[in-house]
Amino acid sequence: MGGILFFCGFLSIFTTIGVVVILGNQSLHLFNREQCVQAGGATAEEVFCGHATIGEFLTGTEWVPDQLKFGVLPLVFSTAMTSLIAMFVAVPLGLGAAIYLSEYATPSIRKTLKPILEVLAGIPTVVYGYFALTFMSPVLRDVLGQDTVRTFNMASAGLVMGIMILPLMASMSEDALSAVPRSLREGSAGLGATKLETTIRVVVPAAISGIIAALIISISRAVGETMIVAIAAGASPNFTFVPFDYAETMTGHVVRISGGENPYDSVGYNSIFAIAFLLFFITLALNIVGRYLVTRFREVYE
Amino acid sequence: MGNSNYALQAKNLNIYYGEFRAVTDVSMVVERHKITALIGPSGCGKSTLLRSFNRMNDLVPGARVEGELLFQDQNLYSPFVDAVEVRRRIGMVFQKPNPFPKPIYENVAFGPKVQGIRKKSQLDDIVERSLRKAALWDEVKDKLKKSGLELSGGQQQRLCIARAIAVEPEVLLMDEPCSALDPIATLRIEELMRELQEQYTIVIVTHNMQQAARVSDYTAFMMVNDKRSGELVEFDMTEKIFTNPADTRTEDYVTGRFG
Amino acid sequence: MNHVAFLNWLLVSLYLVDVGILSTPIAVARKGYSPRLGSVIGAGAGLIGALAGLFIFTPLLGLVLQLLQAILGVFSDNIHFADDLKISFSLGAGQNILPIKFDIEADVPRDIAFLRSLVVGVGTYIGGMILLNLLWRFIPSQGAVTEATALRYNTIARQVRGRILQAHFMVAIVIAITVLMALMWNIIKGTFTMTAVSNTVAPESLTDGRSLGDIEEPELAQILVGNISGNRGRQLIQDYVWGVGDAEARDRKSEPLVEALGKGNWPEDLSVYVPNQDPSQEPEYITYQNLSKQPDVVAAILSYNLTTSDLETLVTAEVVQPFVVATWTLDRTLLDYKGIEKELDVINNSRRESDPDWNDARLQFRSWLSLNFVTQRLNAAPELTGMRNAILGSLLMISITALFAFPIGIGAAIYLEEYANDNWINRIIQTNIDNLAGVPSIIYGLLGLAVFVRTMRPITSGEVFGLGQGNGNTVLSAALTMGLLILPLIIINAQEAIQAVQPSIRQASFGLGATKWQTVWNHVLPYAMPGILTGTILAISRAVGETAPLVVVGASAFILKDPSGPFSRFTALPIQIYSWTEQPRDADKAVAAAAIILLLALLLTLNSIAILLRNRFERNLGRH
Repeated sequence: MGGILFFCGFLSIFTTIGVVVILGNQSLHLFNREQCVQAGGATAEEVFCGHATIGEFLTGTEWVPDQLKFGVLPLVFSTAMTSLIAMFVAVPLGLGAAIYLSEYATPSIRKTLKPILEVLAGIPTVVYGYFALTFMSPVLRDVLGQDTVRTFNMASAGLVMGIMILPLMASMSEDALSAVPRSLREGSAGLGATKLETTIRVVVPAAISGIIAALIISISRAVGETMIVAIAAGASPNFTFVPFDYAETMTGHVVRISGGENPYDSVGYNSIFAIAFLLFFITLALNIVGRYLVTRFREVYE
Repeated sequence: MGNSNYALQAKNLNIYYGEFRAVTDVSMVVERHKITALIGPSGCGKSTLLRSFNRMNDLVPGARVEGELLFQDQNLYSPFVDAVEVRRRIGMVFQKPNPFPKPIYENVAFGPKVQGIRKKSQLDDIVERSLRKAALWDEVKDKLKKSGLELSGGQQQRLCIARAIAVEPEVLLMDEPCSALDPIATLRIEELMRELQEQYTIVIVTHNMQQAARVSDYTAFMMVNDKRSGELVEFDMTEKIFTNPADTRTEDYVTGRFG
Repeated sequence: MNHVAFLNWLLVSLYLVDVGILSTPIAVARKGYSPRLGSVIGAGAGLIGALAGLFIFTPLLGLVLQLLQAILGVFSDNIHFADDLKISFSLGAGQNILPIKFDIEADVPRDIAFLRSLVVGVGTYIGGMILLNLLWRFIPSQGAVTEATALRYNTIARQVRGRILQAHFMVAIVIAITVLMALMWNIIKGTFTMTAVSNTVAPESLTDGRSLGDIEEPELAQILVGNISGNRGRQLIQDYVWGVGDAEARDRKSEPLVEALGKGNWPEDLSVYVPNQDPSQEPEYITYQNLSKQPDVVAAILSYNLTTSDLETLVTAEVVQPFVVATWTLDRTLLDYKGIEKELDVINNSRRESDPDWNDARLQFRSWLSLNFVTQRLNAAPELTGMRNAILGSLLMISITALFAFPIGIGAAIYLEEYANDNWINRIIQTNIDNLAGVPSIIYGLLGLAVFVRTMRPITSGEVFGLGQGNGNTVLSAALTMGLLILPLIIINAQEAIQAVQPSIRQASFGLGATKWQTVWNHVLPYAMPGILTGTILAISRAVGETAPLVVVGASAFILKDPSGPFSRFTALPIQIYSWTEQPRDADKAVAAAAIILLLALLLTLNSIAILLRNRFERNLGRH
């Protein structure tokens, strides 16, 4: 019996190996093999062939697979941009909510408020995508002007993504804050500190590694989030730092390209694997750091 | 107001947790520059009473105090008194050492900083003075930047005392400050209390009768009544309590016949 | 860019006023100002600072930038970010909802204009902070104050600051609730709309004035086939009865149709041969190829296989072709009915001019969420579409996902909690599971695409079992992908549930001489099971809403057949929400909104079950 159970546990290792080997292998096809594309649409029969290099992939500023331009930076940049906007929403609000719930709310208020955050956390991201496109974008366009804000833009995707991440940020930070022992709060109050001073100067610093972990896991979530950006951020790569402009993110690009017909081993097929592979490493690194901090934080107070 | 010889005066103090009356009808005084000990079997409400002396119980949801607690002729439980201000003037040291996970310097400077003192030189002064008074300066003067958690248990407790006196309170409440310490560290703290007595009024809760007899000038003996609520049985000079108590229950307790 | 600059300034000003209110009372308490006065002074100083920042420091910053540009200009000609950095603003001239027109040199590229609007924010911030600091330092003392008074003011000011900031923390919660309400309202107002509907063909003209609902199947089929082309009729058979793709239909076009469709789908009294042939010749079978010339056969097959309501829908879809000309969301319907009527007149008038056959559109309140929406299959037209195949697809997929992930998840959890020693390999397994829980879902989608859809195609398409049509993007592939995705969640939740079972129960069992497995099976699992089920249901509800992996493994956005088993192609609710949201018209968005309500209802059901189980679980543990 133990053997079968061990296999169940070990399956997760296969998943990770699968991700690394298959995604890695498929993305290497993009760099190792000669890539050919038809140029000039249906009439021209000319075929362009060329090689993509990893250097170009990581530093190029243009992503046009049909012209064999594989610079992933525009996609990475817009991913960073939407994630940054999301963090501007999720971190202050999430932290504020966490502090309120952990330090100020009475048990009965907490009992009513926490389910609301849970509901927010349970809403599928495609619904948030719909919200970003049909609510946030029009509101931004009304407030900031139709010429300023495009229908598809990074700002509305980022803002809604921030709302989506808020519950995660709030609940992880609240866990960290509640883990700070009561004795520290009493010690501070005994010195004549107000509740706010206790919270800001004692409780939050004591929980800081847990809060940073929450922040990092939230960033990882934002970077990997797909449907909101796929629906609301725009459907073509654009190297810009204006948040009111359209710009496709890494995940958005993968979903759009794979939604169409892509023959096995075609340029489009291989290129999305390369993007996904990069994405995997970014999120993995963030998650490992985040989990490390959580573990270390637990050790301090247990 | 300075004429009174009493630092604190409790008049018919009742403390409730929700519906439950934890302490019933306590009236006693705490004399200036003396050490007053609260003793009694565990669960008799002596810690609760101590925590009501600087409105620490306000932090417990549902806690409520009736009666009067006079501090410099002002009732601390009057609606015009700010609990934060009370706690600044009546400091507290807890059962388990609870230094903040910050450098030793920051631990001591915490109170003054919260009061709004920003000047580095002034803070340095306060930190050194407080650590000296807490007899800790010589041991930590070279590692002020190290975390307070790196100190030994006894040192941590003295750090907490230094932290408490850094805000210059008038009264120092100590809730079984030695119960988590070894005998040598306990001895240091007791010596320290004697030294601090010159400048501060000290109220100490202890379950260790020898300690009460050793360090205190006055002793209050508390017990639970038939409603499981704490009552003050006897309050007098320590010497009298331990040699010639008026109440038989006190006598039973101090001679170790129960509890 | 004017509004962005204004918004920047507004936000920074709010921040400055906030800082003024929060910090000034404490800073000036020592000088004898009561906290209330301090708050007012602080707010004023913050506001003045914000204005000073705008009018003094922003232009200064602009000068610095111009200087920088001049210096950089020595090296490159392409630096233009600070040309003509002028700032002007006037009250009451703005468009939209902001009453203030606020101009920063228009007519420059978007990103440069955006950069400049950031300059406004930075300049305002610098100016405001400088002013506040000056205030705190140099505000005159109100004469001699006793130390006691100063201390009292100080304490009160700190308390006030605490209360104000506490309100700030509450704002976070309020925003969360507001957004949740906005989200719900947005979905509801998109689902229940006023629509203007016009018919391509008036239905009365088809039925001599009878209502479509009064007509029996055979006649409905006749009306349908009589009004569409032969090829279209054949297509309907292919889509609704045969259920194969175009390529397969072409390959099998000469096969007798009765065999292609199966005997069960063939009306008993219908000849399998082409009617009215020369009897001397070998009788010719009805095939896909010649079907388009046999309208009566098409009508007979359709009327045999489809229900009355299906046929009615088809007549409406194929012949009457009502279409939604325009949609108005619920808020406008309630608040601005007159305006809607006016807009409708405009639409009708302009259409009538260009098209003499135009059937006037009529206003019709429409709940896009209806019984038909749940029971009908997909349709390309938003006004006719239902979600049946999507609902069935979602349900089928999560059932298979659960069958796959549940046993493995429990197995892994039991292994890690009851069997695993603390050695390196088990630690790696645990760490790995924790990390997998954080991998973006789209990565799982690509893994599924490479492994289940491509590599394991013979299995996932059902080919090795002699089923299916050879394509790997089936329910099974998607379900397995989702299984991998939620496995870490199931394992982590199940581990928690097993941990919560008291050790005494295990020890009692061991004490009676039970083996490890007997102990786990007979004692630990029964207690942990409600908890495990709760965790599994929550994980599954995550799978129900996941969209990205489904898109990647190739779930169809548009498919008419209901999913028939693990090897059929399929669509799912989130895919429908995505694809209708992506469509341009308002009516498409309304379909997406209605589909969202279905999805949320499904999730709510799952979560309610989970909560019921959780309550039971807690009771169970409480008894021991």
